[in-house]
Amino acid sequence: MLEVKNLNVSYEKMQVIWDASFEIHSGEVVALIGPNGAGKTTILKTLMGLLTPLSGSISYMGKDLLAYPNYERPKLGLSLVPEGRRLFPKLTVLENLQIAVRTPEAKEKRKENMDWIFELLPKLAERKNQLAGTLSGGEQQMLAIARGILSKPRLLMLDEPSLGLAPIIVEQVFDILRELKERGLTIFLVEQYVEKSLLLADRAYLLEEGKIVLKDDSKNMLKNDHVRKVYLGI
Amino acid sequence: MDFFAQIIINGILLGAIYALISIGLNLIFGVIKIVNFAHGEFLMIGMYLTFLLFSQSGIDPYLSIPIVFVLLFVLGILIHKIILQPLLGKAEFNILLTTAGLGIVFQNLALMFFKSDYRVIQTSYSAAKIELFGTLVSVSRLGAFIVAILAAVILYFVLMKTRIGMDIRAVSQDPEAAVLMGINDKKIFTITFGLGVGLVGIAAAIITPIYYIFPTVGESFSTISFIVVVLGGLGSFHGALIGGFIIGIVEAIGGIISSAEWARVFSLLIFLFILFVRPSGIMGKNARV
Repeated sequence: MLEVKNLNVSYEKMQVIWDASFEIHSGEVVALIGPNGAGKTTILKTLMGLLTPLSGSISYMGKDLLAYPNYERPKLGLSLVPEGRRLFPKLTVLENLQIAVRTPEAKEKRKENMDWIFELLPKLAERKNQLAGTLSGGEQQMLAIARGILSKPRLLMLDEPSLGLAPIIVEQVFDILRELKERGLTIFLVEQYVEKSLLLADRAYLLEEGKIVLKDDSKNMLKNDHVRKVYLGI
Repeated sequence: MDFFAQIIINGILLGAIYALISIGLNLIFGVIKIVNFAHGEFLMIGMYLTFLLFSQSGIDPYLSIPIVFVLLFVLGILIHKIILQPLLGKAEFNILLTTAGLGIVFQNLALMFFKSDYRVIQTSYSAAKIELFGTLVSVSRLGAFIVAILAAVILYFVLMKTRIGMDIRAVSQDPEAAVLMGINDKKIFTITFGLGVGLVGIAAAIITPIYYIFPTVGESFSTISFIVVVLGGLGSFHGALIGGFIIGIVEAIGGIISSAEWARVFSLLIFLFILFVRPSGIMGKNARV
């Protein structure tokens, strides 16, 4: 579904991604793990077109993704739940959801998706006419994920969805991700909760200092000495 | 009592005009984060257009509202696309200087085409007055008030209830997140600039029966709209309305107790006082459209 080859990305003159290659197949959950500052967010931003790579190719469903302007990419079925949620604080909960609905497919599924989300997250339904900025951190994260789903993506990408949340809310976030996986959605997950992510994902990549240093099935990754020592603290 | 009512009514009528002029400036600042120093000159261009439509084709200023709106909307879009867009995201100071420079260019073009003569249009209702709450009110000022309020209400409706309005608000709050939602932020910036300039075109059409038209007429209105916008709170729609009415009423009172020249001093004093109490403006502090 997505194939990235020899991606190089830099901010101004500082290169942060070196020759990264990876792929995501339809129906898979793929985790991207690595320490802070390794370049995980940079990769997601490049996929969404918020950054332009120095070189490399990104092929998505047989199309050259780099040929599409950034605002067209969500319409191709790419959806990013960005780090720090990035909700529109002065839009209502409902407006925050509606704003993601742009393609005919998304419009068609809108009611179904809305109902499902409100059933899953009854708190959001209660507060749908409230401004998003007045929600609690956990509710905001739920809303951000819900917004990411409402565009009816083929590939959902999440950047640290559990960042700054209480453990019980983190559980809830992962419950939702599991549910999405069961529904067959393709997911690309960037997370700091390495163990949880690996238990959820089918495959994983390890990114260190801008280079992909390891790729494997999640099961093997969990057994890998380097991963265990550095990321699982075992 | 009548005297007092007269002052307040005059102030409110004036305030609505100030508010409408300021809303366009504020919209552009709130969404694109551009301080448009050419704002007053767009008003001047709108006034000359209204003047031309009236003197050449006999079109009443009120009938020319949609024409001037559309012409200035298109002018705004062209200016933004050709001149301002390429500068966005670079040094902010460049855009500031560019809009200020555009203002000077527009003023001198007006001087070239229209000379420095004061123009005025004489409509059948120019001198007419009607009674309102026991006071005499100029018909053209009342008309300007009604149109200004209507325009503000329509804009508010568009921003709050339409898809494009929601997109504009989203881009105003977080342009990058808006792109992630599939919104073309550049297009929204261009449309917003056109809308802001178009709104000042509406203001221009309705004040043409009231004020003299000359190449630097925009300057004083520009100053007022900056005061109104900062007073009300940068980027706040309601703030611009409230700020407009405050300055209008203060100037009306100031004009009565002293002279018209001193009226501006009063509004500046109020401006300083409010900024002293609320540095981010009345509706300020992260207030956005």
